Amino acid sequence: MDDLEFRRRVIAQPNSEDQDILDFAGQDPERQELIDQMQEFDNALNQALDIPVPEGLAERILANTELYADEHTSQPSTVSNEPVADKAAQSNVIEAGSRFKLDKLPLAMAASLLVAVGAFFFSSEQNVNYGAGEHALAHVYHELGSLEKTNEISLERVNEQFAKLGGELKELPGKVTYLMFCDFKGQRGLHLVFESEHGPMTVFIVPSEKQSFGHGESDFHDERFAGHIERGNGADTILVASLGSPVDRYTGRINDAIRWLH
Amino acid sequence: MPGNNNSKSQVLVDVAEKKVRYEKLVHVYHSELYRFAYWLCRDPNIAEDLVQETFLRAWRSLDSLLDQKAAKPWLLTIVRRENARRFERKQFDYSDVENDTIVDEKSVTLDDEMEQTVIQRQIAKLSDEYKEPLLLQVVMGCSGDEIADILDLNKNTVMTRLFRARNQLKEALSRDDEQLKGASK
Repeated sequence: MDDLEFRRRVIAQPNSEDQDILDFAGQDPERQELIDQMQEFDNALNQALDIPVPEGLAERILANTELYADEHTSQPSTVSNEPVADKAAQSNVIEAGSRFKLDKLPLAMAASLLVAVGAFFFSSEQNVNYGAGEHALAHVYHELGSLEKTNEISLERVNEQFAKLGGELKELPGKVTYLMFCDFKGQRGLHLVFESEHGPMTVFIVPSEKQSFGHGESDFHDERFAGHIERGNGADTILVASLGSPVDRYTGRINDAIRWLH
Repeated sequence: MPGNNNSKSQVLVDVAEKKVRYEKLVHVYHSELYRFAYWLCRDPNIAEDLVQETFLRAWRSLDSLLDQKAAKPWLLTIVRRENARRFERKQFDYSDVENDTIVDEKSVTLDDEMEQTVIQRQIAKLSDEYKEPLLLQVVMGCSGDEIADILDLNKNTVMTRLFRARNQLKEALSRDDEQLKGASK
């Protein structure tokens, strides 16, 4: 590899984990700087493109599909020529359709819960006094996609970014799959996701200067996630995981691993 | 007939499973897909329609979408195709189109907000051949191979376009930056 190829590949794919790229970057701090710059640029692109999704979109999609399924399953099957089988197929299909309807209530409830969470997030963002737990949950719901990433981000890379907030992590309880600077009520903080035995867990490390997580209970949960806020001198650490996970144990481990450099 | 009862309950189980898989698919992908669609057409109403249509197609083809990993490129291909079809039709029938209704209510500082608007404008100005691979990579988190697959290009072409897309953006943004500085003097 030469510098030209390196440059082309880093600019085309700043988050590349290709070993030859990483090795080549390791030989020269200027090369590493290009990677850092391009990754920062991508963070900016990502945040600019991260527009809000309309409230209740998932609910509307599911409701529309249900309408469609109802319309198209009440017709008798024309595939089979055998009258008995035909009749059986028809009755199956009708029952299948009505089963779809029976499930409507819990489905609608689940969907409207999501809407409520979404509405809360978008309507209350300006309200400084609402609970830190709700803010954390809303942030997790807003970036649900962050929980599906699988590519590993090295601890070194995490620390390079974390250093910008003046901190360092000695270890993490699992493979890091998502790393981003996010805005928490006007305060820039680190948002990362790591894999654990209990599924993906989200960690926010947010300087406490603006009291972004200053109000509300330390422990919080909803039907899907549970979380804990550890309020520190310089920064707050927030962990959000699937309901039923040992949240305290993981928060403790992360806090023990954080070292502030100033 | 016992045989009939078995097959009957099997059909019910199949439908229930299909529904569970479908709901999962919708919940996992609807946000990202909406964002991708929005940046393709830059209209919230059209974006929502594109996503609705895409998921309806996914429901009809769910049996062939067994693998979750295969679902993402499949969904993206359909969104792109549906978006392209808009231009083939003479008029798109919308009753209550309110363009530019996107209001970003996230709490960001004024500087961030300005920067984001500037970036958004420059991305919109990119030609489709550069914009699409970039959106697939940044919004959808697709790999080079996945992008090549979705856009039906070879991977080298995809990489070249991603390189040029970012270069163009960086150039345009530094020009904007200079203009801003110039204006504030």
